[in-house]
Amino acid sequence: MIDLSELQRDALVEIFNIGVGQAASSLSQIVGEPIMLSVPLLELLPGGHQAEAIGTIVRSQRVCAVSQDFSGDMDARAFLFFPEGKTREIVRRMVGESVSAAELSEMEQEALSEIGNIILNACFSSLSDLLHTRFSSSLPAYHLGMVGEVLPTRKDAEEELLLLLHIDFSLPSNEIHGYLVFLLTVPSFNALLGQIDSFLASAHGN
Amino acid sequence: MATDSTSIPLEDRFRLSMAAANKINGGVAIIDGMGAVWFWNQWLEEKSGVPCGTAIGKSLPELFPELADSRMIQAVDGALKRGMSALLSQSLHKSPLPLFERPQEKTQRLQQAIQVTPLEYRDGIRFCLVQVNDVSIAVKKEQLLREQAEALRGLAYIDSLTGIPNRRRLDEYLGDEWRRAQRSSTPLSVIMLDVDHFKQYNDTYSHAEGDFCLQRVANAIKATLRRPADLVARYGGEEFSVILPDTPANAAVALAEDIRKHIESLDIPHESSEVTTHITVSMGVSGMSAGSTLAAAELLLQADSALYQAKKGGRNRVTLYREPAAQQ
Amino acid sequence: MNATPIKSILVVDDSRVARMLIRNFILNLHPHWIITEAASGKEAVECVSRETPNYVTMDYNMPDMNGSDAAQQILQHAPKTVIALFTANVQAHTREQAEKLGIGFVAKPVTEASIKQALDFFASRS
Repeated sequence: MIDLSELQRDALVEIFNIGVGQAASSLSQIVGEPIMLSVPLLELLPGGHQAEAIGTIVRSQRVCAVSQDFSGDMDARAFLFFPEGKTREIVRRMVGESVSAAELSEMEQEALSEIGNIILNACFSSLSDLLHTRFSSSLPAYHLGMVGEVLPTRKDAEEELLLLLHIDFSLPSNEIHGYLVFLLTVPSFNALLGQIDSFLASAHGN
Repeated sequence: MATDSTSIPLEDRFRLSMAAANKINGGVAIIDGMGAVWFWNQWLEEKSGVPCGTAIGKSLPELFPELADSRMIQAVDGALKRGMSALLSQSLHKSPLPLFERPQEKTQRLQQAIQVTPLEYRDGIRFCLVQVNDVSIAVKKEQLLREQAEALRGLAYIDSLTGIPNRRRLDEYLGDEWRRAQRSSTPLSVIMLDVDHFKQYNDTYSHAEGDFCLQRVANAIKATLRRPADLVARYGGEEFSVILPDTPANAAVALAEDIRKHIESLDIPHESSEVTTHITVSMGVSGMSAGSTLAAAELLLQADSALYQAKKGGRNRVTLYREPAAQQ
Repeated sequence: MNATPIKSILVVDDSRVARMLIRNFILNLHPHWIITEAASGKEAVECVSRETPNYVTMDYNMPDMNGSDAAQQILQHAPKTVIALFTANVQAHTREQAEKLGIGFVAKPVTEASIKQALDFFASRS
């Protein structure tokens, strides 16, 4: 059974904390308001039934998602999920309040893609810097629909693991829950664990 | 003579590729591993006013000092140092690069959508590709649509009889101002106003006169309001509501009293009123102090409750909401 | 290397890994310094009430109490304590809070460089 030890989990959360902190800084400059972040929760979901699991956690089967592919020392597809309907609020805050709901849709796609891009890049930069791994990332892609449509269906779905990171963003006016999901193959996950263990070893004492 | 593409020599292929990149209807720039411009296409030359010869070898902040510490530079650094792709959407950044329809006059700055992607060079060194799309036309279209929608919405948000905002607008405004009060920790007050014995007025003087009366009342309230952020709306038949941002309850009560007196001074004859011989109004006031977590809906209910007390207490008065002393 | 006086540092962070890293880097530079740890703002305030450290590194985003509030409480008890926020929350708003309290601000990640930054700050206030 593939799992994370308490310490490995702690290390990953700490690494993502730094990434999310960077992202929040960039986003707060755009919004012009401070952004509150909760301590992220990390979960590992084994392959199969992933769409249902995510749907339950996100509390909505219909989602807006921004995805990016990362390749290099590790191969992963990362998603930032938002429950559909909440995204208008996020974009409205970013873009300014004078835009009505209907017109937001075109802007929403672009703006959300960039927001997702900022967050995902910051998280992976943190991973890259601290674990000394090399990745490159693709441009963000925007999806709207059922979780099952957004997640790629693969025959060897059991081969893939989901690393789920639950982040609460709040702008002072409302709370928005975003969910970071990393789709990794088992070999990539093991490579990640290897890097984390090296990182922990150096943390223990040089 | 047919040209078989496989037989084209390497240097010609290079020349053709460069020619293609130059002809692309959009900005294409390649930044080298040290952050200096390596390729600057014709479109960028035309829109920035910076010729290719000048651009090559210089970094973007050198060419455009305004870009220092910008998201644009962060994106280029991210691509060069970490292989990250980035998107600068036109929604969040109007025009990151100084590009114009007419760069000599610096007029009509272009709205841009920019993509930055890493290019693997060799030995782990990366270059980066910057693509710029002029989205000004798309943005203009959006702007036009938005203005049309705004006009339509204006119609949907105005009460046709009095010309003041309607209940739909009130609900939205209350929500916005409540959120703002939470963010900036400021007080917020609400007044609910009801014309006394209005049914009797309609029965005595006719509905047309009733309509006219309501218009005068609406105008009187509007005239008494002092600040641009204060909003009066028609809440129902003869009911009005006033939203007072940045106003504590005691100031709201004082203002309500001014409104009441102003309406009384209109001296609109009302023989069948049981209060007096002219039109009067009853008002309920509620307020939340800075930092209060009272819900917006609660605030409105409290004003309504206070209005009810005002009616019970004899009408033609202003009543401030009080917590009920004891519950049955 | 000159012998420096022994100092005591309280490391406050809800992440065990972060505490490990901070402890490790500090001891590398000052093997004789005394390091205590707290995993939350509340714990930190309790620690300080029992024994006042010279310096405190303080995380910001913590479950029960954020770092700024914890720092404020500590300064009430023991105003001479030199505190530095050591956090991933690098927004302007957080830096301003540190400034208002008169405490230091160091951005994570925990590296030799950022630890040196923290130690330089402590030294400047001693």
